Amino acid sequence: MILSRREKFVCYAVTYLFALFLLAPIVWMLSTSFKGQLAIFQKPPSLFTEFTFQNYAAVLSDPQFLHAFWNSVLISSGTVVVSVALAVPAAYGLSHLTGGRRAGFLSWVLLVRAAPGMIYVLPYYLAYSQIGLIDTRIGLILINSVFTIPLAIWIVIPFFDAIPHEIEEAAIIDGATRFQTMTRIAIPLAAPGIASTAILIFIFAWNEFLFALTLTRFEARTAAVSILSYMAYEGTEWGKVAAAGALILLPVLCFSILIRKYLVQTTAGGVKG
Amino acid sequence: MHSSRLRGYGLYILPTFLVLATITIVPLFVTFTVSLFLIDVTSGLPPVWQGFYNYVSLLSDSRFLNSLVVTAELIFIPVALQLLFGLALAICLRERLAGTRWMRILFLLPAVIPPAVSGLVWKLFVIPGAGGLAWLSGLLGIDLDIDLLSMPATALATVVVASTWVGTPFVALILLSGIETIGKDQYESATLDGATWWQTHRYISIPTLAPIIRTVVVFRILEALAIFPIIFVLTGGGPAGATEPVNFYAYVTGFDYLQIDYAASMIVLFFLAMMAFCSPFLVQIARSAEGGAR
Amino acid sequence: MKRTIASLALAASLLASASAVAQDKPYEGVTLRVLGTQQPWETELQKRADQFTEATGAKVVFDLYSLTQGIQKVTVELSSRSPAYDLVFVEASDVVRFGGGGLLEPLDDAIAADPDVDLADFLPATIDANRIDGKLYALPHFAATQMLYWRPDLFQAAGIDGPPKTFSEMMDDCAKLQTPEMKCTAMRGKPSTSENIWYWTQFLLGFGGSFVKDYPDDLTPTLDSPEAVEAAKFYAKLLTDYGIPGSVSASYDEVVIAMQQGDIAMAIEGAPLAGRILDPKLSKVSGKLGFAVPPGGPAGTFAPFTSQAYAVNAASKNKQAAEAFLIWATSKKTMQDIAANSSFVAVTRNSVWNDPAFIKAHGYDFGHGSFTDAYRDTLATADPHYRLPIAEFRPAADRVGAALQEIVTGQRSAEDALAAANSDVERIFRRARLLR
Repeated sequence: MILSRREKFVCYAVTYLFALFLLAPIVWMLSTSFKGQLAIFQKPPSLFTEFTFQNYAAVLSDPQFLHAFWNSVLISSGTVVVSVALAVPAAYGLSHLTGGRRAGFLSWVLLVRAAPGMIYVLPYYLAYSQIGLIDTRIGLILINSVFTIPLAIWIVIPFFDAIPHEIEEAAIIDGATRFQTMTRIAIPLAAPGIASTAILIFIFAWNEFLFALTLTRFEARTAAVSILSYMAYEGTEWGKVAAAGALILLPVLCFSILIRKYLVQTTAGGVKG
Repeated sequence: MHSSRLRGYGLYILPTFLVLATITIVPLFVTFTVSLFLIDVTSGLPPVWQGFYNYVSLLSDSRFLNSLVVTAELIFIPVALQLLFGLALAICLRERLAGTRWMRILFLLPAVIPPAVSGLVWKLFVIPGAGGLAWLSGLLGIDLDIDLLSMPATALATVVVASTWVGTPFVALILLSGIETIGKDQYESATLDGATWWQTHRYISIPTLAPIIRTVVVFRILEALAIFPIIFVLTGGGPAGATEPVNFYAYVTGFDYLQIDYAASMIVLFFLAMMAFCSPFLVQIARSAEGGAR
Repeated sequence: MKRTIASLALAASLLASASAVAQDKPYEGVTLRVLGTQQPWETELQKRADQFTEATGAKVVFDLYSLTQGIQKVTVELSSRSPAYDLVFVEASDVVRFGGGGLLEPLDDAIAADPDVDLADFLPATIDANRIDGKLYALPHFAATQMLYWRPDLFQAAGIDGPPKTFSEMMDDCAKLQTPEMKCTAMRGKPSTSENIWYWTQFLLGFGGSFVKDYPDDLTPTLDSPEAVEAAKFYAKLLTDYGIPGSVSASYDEVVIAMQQGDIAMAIEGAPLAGRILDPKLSKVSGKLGFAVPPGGPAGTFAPFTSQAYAVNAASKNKQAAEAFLIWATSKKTMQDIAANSSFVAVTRNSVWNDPAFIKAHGYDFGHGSFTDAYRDTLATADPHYRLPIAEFRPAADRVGAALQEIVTGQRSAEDALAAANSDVERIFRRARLLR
């Protein structure tokens, strides 16, 4: 479409101002992460006053933070394994169902996903303190799955739906069992979708905060929660906080660039009316 | 042939169904049960049955009533802003103006940033007199040295802005993917008929996007309170409850004051209200996700 | 045969030396987990924990949070009866419910076995606050109160001799002290149990009001009493007419900074923060301050008071080692060392207050009242029930704190805001079966 100059100007203004709004706080955090404690509270502030790696060095040599970071890696990976293992067969089965039962199951799954996290925290806290799952990685993986299994089912189904049923039928005529059809034909064909789902789940688990906040102490504390220990009563160490924030951001940033094509598609897939 | 082919697929669903039921429905039931007892975890005394006492108390708890208002403010204002800006951005990004392609990648960023880090990002940005906001306003020649998080109105505004910041880009991208499915010829013929740029979007884009918009809004409403970590890091629900939605008050009640039964009753009530509001839409969305009928 | 005897002898001597090592380091291999708050005391203690490890073999790991988060974590951990942490941070007002609930380990036996503890050396109020039914549940390291910091030079210039003794004198003095360039005072306005309520309660009690009718016999809340309304109005007037801009939401930090920068003529603020206010590197007024007991009202003077302490988790699996650490941490030697070599001044031991090294480091006296004397006189007015020792105090006081802010910002009248808060507090108490 051909835009008039005024319309062009409006569009440039809208997009660039929003991009500024989007980037400014993140850039500010990055600049803070390279500042010393004094420069952080300097008035008036400036974007780049000094350039020091001391915050990163301090955070990366803090065993508690490294432990939490490693926990996040393990917990997120564990959540991916559990969710994919349970969601993929279910999605495969659902993609072969029709009408009421499929819709019924899907809406139930959606309702579960839509419940506020707080409603799960209390009973899980009570149950975990009874059976000793507080402050364990397994415990967090389990409660993360409450949200990630439904998410995975929703995202994977369209990929199975997209497989032409002639292919599967041909395999069955050739004597393949239904299970073999799933593992040898359907899953490989849906592999890109499953892989991007796995990454999406990883991001979800990596970002999770409420469960990790309430159900861990020190053994299973995750990176997102570990930031809090730098935000203390007196003199918050903003430089370290910013550096820790940037480090926690890094993996999800890499992953989301990896699956950027799917990120909108897959989530929008569940959304398209 | 068709129905016999379908039988047996239940086996693939059943294990997941059972696991999911155990880890979701059982806890919901426990939460509800807890809300019906008086439980003092500190003293370790056995729970005392109290029926719906907690639910009745909630109705006269002004902090709870305030949290309902805050909840509504934190759901509807950001979602409205997200939709407004998202739509404007989608329409503009569609034009593929010079130097806007990279924004499609940039826009993914807030959606994948850990919410706790988002809270942090904003906390650093609004440090009174020394944060990014003060720096930006300094560039414009304004000396901005106020603590936005210290007054109820400005603290709420900051949380709303942060929430809009998190949600808008994603709304924009989804709407953009919807707009790009609309054929160019539709716009062209409208333009030939003398429609202005604005009119083509008013009468073509928005009506076509309507179902997507509806779905996006439902999901954004459900996601709106997922800003818990942002509130936790940014304001802690304060000052004086100005940024304390129901789920945050429930958290404070349950884990600060250890009144877990009271917290449970709050969250149950909130869950039911939310479901009553959203479930018709959710069922509709699930139904329309057909395509499995092969 | 000889060889057997020789090897037996050798074995015996080895065993003996092994047990000597064990005697030397009785807690070798034990790791103590401390759950607490990140405050100056903990920072200093952390630096010195190696000394304890060297002496006893027990490693000490600190898990520290901000004040509110730390208290919250402690509450949750104790209530779940988990052995994960051996030592926990407690404020005096929490000791009653934790100790009474059997969640804390009584320390009396361990203290009796170690004559070096010398309980009589502690400030009596700090020990009393941590004792229930004759059992001591925590050893305090931090005596928290507020005193009056004032600027004799400014008072003199305004023709006032000496600091205010009563609230009304304080208000009158402010009228004289305040100039267009300088506000009279600063105070905590942020709504919270630990901020505005911590400050305002001295007005409430000083005007003759109280949180409840008759603690502990009748817990009917009385926050809508005429005295409470008067206290709230006084607080609001002082804050709006004579407080620094932003007082409505100020926390202790803003008050300390205003004092450091010389922006105000007087402030009632935490004695423990004296280290920061008086540090010449941070403060413009360090040589120009006077110290006094805070002013009182018609009903008397009620300086804020609580103690912060560490206690041994009753569910801990290393109670002996934990007790040993606690005794070491609050011992004369450790406390003297920390107090003399850091900005931490709110110590709980008389011997430290009289320690020449401490007085040299912190015995500020600029001719208008000595810091240590004012501090001790202030603590003498300390009411162990300044904060009600009931589990519901925190939710109730948070609610009243919000009401105070409504009054200060003019959203509601004092009468209305306090009446609403009172009925909420009543509901909170009723829920907990504190009222019939």
